[in-house]
Amino acid sequence: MVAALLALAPTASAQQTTTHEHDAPNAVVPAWWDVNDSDALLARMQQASTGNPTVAARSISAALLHGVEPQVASFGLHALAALARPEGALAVQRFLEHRRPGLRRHAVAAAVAIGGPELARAVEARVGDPDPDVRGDAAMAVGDMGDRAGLGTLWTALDRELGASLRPEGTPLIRGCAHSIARLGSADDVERLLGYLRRAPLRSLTEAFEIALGRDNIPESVKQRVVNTVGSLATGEARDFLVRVADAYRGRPAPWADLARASAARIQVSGGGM
Amino acid sequence: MTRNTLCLVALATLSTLACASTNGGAFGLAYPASSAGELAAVEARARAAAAPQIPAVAVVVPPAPARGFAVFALPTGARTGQVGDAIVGRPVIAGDLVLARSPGSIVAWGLDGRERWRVPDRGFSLVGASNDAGRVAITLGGAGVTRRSGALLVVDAETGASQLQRPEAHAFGAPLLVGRDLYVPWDGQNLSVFDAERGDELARVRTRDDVFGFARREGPSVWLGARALYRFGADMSAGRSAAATRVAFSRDGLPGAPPFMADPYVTLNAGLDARERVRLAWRPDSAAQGATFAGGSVYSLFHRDVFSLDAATGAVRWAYVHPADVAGVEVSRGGVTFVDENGRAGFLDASNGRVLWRANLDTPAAQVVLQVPGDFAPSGGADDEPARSQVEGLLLAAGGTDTRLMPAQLFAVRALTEIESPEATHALVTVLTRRLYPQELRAAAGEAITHRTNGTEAMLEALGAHHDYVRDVAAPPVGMLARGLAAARERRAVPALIAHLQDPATAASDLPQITAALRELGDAAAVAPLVDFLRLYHADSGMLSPVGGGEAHDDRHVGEQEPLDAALEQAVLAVGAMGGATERRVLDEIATHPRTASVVRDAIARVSAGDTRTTQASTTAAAQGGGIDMAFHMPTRLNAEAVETSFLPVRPQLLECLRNAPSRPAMVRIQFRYDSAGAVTHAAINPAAFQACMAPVIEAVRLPENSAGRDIATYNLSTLP
Repeated sequence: MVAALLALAPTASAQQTTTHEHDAPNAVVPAWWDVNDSDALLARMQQASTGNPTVAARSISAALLHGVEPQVASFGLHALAALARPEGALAVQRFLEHRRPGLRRHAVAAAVAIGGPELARAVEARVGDPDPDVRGDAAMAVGDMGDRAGLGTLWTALDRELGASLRPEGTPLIRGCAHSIARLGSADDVERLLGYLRRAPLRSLTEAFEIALGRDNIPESVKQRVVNTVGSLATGEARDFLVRVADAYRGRPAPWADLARASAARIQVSGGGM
Repeated sequence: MTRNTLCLVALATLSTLACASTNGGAFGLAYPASSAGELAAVEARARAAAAPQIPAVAVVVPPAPARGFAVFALPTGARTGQVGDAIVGRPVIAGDLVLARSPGSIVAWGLDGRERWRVPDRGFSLVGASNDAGRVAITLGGAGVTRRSGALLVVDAETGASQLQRPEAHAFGAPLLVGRDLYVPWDGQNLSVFDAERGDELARVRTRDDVFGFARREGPSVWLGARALYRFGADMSAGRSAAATRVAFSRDGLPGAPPFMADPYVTLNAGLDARERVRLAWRPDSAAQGATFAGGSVYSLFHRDVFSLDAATGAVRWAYVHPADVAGVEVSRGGVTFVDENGRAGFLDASNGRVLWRANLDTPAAQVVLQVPGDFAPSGGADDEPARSQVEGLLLAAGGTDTRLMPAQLFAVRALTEIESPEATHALVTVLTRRLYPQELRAAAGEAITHRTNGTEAMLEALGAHHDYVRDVAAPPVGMLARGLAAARERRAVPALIAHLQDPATAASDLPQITAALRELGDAAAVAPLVDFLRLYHADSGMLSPVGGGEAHDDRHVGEQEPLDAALEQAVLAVGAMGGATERRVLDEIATHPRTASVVRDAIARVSAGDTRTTQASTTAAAQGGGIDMAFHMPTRLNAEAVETSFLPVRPQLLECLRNAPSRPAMVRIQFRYDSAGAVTHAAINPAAFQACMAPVIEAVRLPENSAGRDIATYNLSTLP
């Protein structure tokens, strides 16, 4: 195995690489990678992923920028996400603007794994993507990447989406924005998010409130307002949410969890109790 | 000079059969055309006759089921009369009388709304009336010039007492009284002048090549015509339009294709009549020499749009868009008076279309008949009206989402294309980038900007926008802008074009035009992005696994692959033309990939073979960062003019496909592919209902040879007359 990896891994020798003037400085496709043979290329990528992460990320990135079939590209981006190396950022950034929505989604996932301010900016830009799934992924990724600078975009996107969509299940963008606001926002942001409860479907916000309730830096009073506001909806969905978060904190000293339990008990739902 | 005598009768009962004549008598076909001297004598009397005072009034016919009409004095807007009787046919204002057909009668009311008198209608509609020197002349008929049956009446203006009643087997147009001289157009080709007191026919003009349908007085002159405007005089004796003092007006593509005037032998309906909502409006100018229109303008009315047109050239001087449909207009030297369907009146300045006067008649109007003197030019009540430039007016006319106004919108866009100014280009770009505007309109504006050579700032500005869902910004029409900027050789567009090339929100259909524009602009800065584009997409076909796993699928829209291939092909040609040895090696690599589309591979082969049509440019210049001369022997892409010229012969066949269509669009959009030999394939027609009929015709079209290799083009088939 080690021998195989060593055989596959590129060396420092310049003669063993294929370089192009228009390739970025770190974009070097190993000479023994046949970019025209997709099956072989997939195998090379797979094998490289198990070796030196830096070299693998650089090689895969170079191969993707060299131009590959979509299936290979999706695998390559997946591999770059797994490697989580900054050497893969160049290809990820380029594929964030690929014409295929599927590859953009793969690139968003890879960007989250790799991180860094440049990729964070590029991901934030994709919140305005023409494809709804890419928008949702990107909005979610803004929070996962800890990009607090993206909060303004998330609020704008949330307002825009609520004005444009009335789907009962919400949209990926609503869920993504709420998720990231709950992760990145202040207590004020969480309270503001509460104001969207009657505008957006509860199910598109529950994950966000679960995140907010789990954060140590959100005051207890805000968490209790979350519980009270959700409880005031008095629906089965609200009750399920309260039961779920209360159960998750069972046995831990969390007054808001007790409040959630009590609120859930007060909700009468047709067809039975809890 | 007296030659024939009309039957004068004092009583209606004596007026019938005995007077009818078809040969040598009055209206007789054997009556000879008058000499120049005879006509000069008639003209001299008209010049010497005192001009009647014409009160400025508006007669407003309300929408059904309301009946009658109201009379308003202008410019005060005061209601002076109200008539409740049902009327049949459009009212006629004759000086201080309003005449209309009421069942069984022709009734004359004063401007105060009181009935003055009525005479039997003899079963005919009211065609026209004229009031002068105490008499009123009335013509009846109104069923068209081919319906040779009507009557001519002369009555006392005060009492309605009959002075002349003349049923005839002829069709009559609108008459004119000038003192004792009664001008009567009849049967399309004749104008007879009678002595209204004695009934003698004094003169006759017979046209050999035109139509006479009305006579009217303007200042000291008498004017007549139907398809053109004649100034009555001795030079009409020959009966040929070329010899007469005459002015005509013609302009292709006017919204609704209105005639010079509504058929004067046909009585319009009372109330809403579409012929009055889509029409030309003009007035003779007696103050000028020869035959001219007042202000040198003809006005085209289309529901709520008014276009002022240069009478000599047809060029649009200004456009005015009213907030409501216009129910009636009348021209004077200083401008146009109008009343809209809400009873709001206004006056447009002839020089710039600005509203100089407004008044509220406070009554709904289905039809408004106006009578204003030639020097009518009211002002007031319009201080808040903004002054608009010619382009601003046309932009307003081009805008909006009222599909009913599409012909006027298209006309406005075409008018903008005729204005060579950056402001006009900016306006066209504005139309092009408004997503709410109809597609046909935007397509017309888009085609227009591909021919612009100035105003590229507006195109650059539009190109600066990118799709952003969050901020609700739509992608601009990059393809059209790219073509326009390439045609204008605007190299400042290169960075923006590159940005759109790399933007996934850019429509696939725009990509070939972007890469072609980059190629034509020949800026070396485009080489690296084009190589990047080629690398990223040359093998980009097939399926991929979704995020999170699952069945692999192809997430590319079926219609995107072909324009993407075309864009790649253009990119190859551009790189071949502008790139150096390094870039050629990239092309060679791309050619070996099994997924590379055949059109891309072929293009690379052509580049490698040193095809002069694609690789003539200097790589040295590109390497130095300078521009390159893309002077190909053949056009790199066919421009709209070449396409239109090639399609012109088959236009009648294409229009034939619209025959009996349940709905006739103002424009049919035809998109197709063509190759370097000019062969047309893959025609896609919108609306698709015409696909089956038009596609074979289109694919038989042969375009000029070119060096595009493979490209997509659009032909917008205007279905307007």
